[in-house]
Amino acid sequence: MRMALLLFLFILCASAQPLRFGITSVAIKDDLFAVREWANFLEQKSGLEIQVVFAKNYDEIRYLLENGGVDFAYVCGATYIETKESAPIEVLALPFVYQEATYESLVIAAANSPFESLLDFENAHYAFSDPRSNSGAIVPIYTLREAGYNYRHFFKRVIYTYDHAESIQAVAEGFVDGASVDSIVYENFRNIHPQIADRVRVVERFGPFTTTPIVVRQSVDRAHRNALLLALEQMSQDPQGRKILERFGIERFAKPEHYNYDEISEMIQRIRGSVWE
Amino acid sequence: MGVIKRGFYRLSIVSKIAATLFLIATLSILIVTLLHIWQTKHTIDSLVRDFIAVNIEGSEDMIIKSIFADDRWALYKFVKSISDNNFVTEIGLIAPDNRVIVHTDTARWRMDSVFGWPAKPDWIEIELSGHDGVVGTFVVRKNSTHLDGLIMQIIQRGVGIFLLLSLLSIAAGVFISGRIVGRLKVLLSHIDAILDKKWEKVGSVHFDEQDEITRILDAFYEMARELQNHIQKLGETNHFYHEILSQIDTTILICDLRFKPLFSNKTPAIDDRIDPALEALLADRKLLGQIGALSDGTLQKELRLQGRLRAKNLVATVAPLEDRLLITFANITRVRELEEQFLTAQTLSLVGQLSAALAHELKNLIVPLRLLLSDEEVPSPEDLRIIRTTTDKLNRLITGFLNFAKPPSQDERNWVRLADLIDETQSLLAGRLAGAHLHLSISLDRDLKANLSAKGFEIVLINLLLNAIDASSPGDTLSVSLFSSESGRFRLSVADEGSGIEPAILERIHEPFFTTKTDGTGLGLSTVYRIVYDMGGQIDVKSGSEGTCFDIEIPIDKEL
Repeated sequence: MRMALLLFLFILCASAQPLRFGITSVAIKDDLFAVREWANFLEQKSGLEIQVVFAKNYDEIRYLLENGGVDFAYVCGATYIETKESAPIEVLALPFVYQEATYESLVIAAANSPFESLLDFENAHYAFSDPRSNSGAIVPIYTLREAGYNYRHFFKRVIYTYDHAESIQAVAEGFVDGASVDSIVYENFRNIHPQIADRVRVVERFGPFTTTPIVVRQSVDRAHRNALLLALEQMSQDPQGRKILERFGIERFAKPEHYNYDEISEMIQRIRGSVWE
Repeated sequence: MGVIKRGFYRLSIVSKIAATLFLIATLSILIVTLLHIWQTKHTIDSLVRDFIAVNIEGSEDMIIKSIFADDRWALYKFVKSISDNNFVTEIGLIAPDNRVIVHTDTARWRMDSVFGWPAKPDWIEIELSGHDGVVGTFVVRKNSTHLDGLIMQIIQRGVGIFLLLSLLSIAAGVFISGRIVGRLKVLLSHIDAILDKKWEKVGSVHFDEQDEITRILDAFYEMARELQNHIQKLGETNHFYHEILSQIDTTILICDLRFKPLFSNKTPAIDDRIDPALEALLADRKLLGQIGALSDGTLQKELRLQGRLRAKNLVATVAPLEDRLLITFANITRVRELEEQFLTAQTLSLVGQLSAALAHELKNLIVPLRLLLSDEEVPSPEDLRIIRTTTDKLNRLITGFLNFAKPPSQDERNWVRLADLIDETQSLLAGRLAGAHLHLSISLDRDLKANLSAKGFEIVLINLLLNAIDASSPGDTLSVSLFSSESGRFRLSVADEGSGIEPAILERIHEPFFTTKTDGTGLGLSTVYRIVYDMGGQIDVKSGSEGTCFDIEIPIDKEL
């Protein structure tokens, strides 16, 4: 009885503190209103108070996850791998597209450009999204490394847009010759801005990789974690939830039984030391 | 320029005002438009520069941080956001080493390429300075097409409004000037009417406007009315004096100093009597010299003009009248005629008295002489016949003398029907007339009676008819007429169709013993003159190539 009372008090206390939801603009800056609606939806469905925390990049979200600045976050697979090394986090759910929890890293270029592969971009201007993004940086860096190139010298100049959508825009406007982007964002961008996307074409595809996960700190109460997962899973069955998912170009959120980020982890291991050290 | 000026002068006032307003409006529009373009361009330039400068200033920290962090995408997004409007077509951020940091014209100005600085006027450069000096320069190209379009839009609206206002002001100007000119035209038409003396066309017209022009018009009508009254009075006065002058028998002539007639009191102004008179006057060279030297006072000269039928006596008076000459011609013919008649009458009377005395004495001597002659004492019947003829001639002569010297006494006057006397005379002379193959045309007022000596009248008529018979050729017609003439007088005219009397002879026909006939006594016409003058009458003789006419006027009753 005494234990039950203590647990109740704990839940009360825990409930009094809102859950902080970390989002980076790398993936979804294009539709911040949708993010707010998403948070509201999760609040309604989970019964938990949720506070959205925007982070500029994956480095910042990693920091927040490590230090308890956020309780759960929508991050890149690479960020998950790296954060997991230093903080107790776990995958809460994965986005599914075309019935799969996988996506690709796309090399894109201007529609009328002559590029046919990543290796054609030697001495070109190239855009990465976030230095810690799998599809937006790690995949091309890794690919070039495997081909024997240091991306710093291979490209004439690399810029960071910190946003896959902006990388597409940079290519469309001719500011850069090519860019590496998330395939889910790219497809979604095509649907939302077809006239811009028409100026761009896919040169090369890498993957598939496990999709960018929603991770949660293990310190978050299990009941809350379950409630959040349930809410995320309910999105695809709810009209409002479906509308939000459509905005992100995702079919549903779920926690598959089998998934792994081994490939990403391996790439990170391989390039570590040559990129940010 | 001269053509334009002359053309402008020929325009009506309304057209002049409209043209002036149009010119002013056009020039104003032009000047305002140019100023507006300049001002708008300047303003828009400033606005564009300020807009960019404010944007840069607001993001200065971010820009400098991005430059140092080499965050090209952030810089690109910034320049893109500034260029994402209608005022700017492209914008670039150029490093101090002239390399392109970012540029919105990505095709031309790639990152890190060497920037070619434009020299065009539609570029704006804004330097960005950090702590250590210039860190970059923004090079902005204005959207001239859009800005010019914007300027044109503003100007078109401005010009449109200005044009509308100008047209309105021109219309107002034309309306106002039309109202003014309309009234001036009325004034002009009235002035024309005054000049044409059509006073009935001049009348006060009401105008709604109560401005200076209306007051001028009112004053003009008042003036015109007074002028009309004055002119009317002047006309009446003129007419009055003209009537007086025209009634004067004397011809008054005003000439310039060259004797060109300017005015005459006779109508027609310069009548046919003046020219010969003036000619006669001007024929006197000496007088002309005197007239030339005439400063004041008058010159007088009597002129005798030979008319078609009779001579005329005029007294010409010349007097200076400022820069003209006042010449008067007074007809004194009648005075001269009366003078002559008086002289003739006096002469005849004297001759009569002498003749009577002489005749009486002669008769007294001849009658006894004849009685003394017996048949035995007559040398021969032939001589006797001559003596008798001579004595008869003497007796006839003496009877004629007596008739002349002692005309039928006034005491013998009776009221007689003159037609009867004429009829008697006609019977008496019927044989002579038939013998000479002459016709007699008589037109009479048969009721005309006169208180006079019937014998005297018969002597006059017989003498005139005998003369007429002598002057006529066979087949001619003698005309005798008798009518009452002026009040209280009758006129007896006897005319022939002979060859007329020469002027030199005509002047002497009244003289006793003057005759052109071989067996005439020269007493017939003198007796006629004496009798007529005694009756208080006048004789007027007109003679020409078509014949001679004796007009005799005698009072019906001398006593009256």
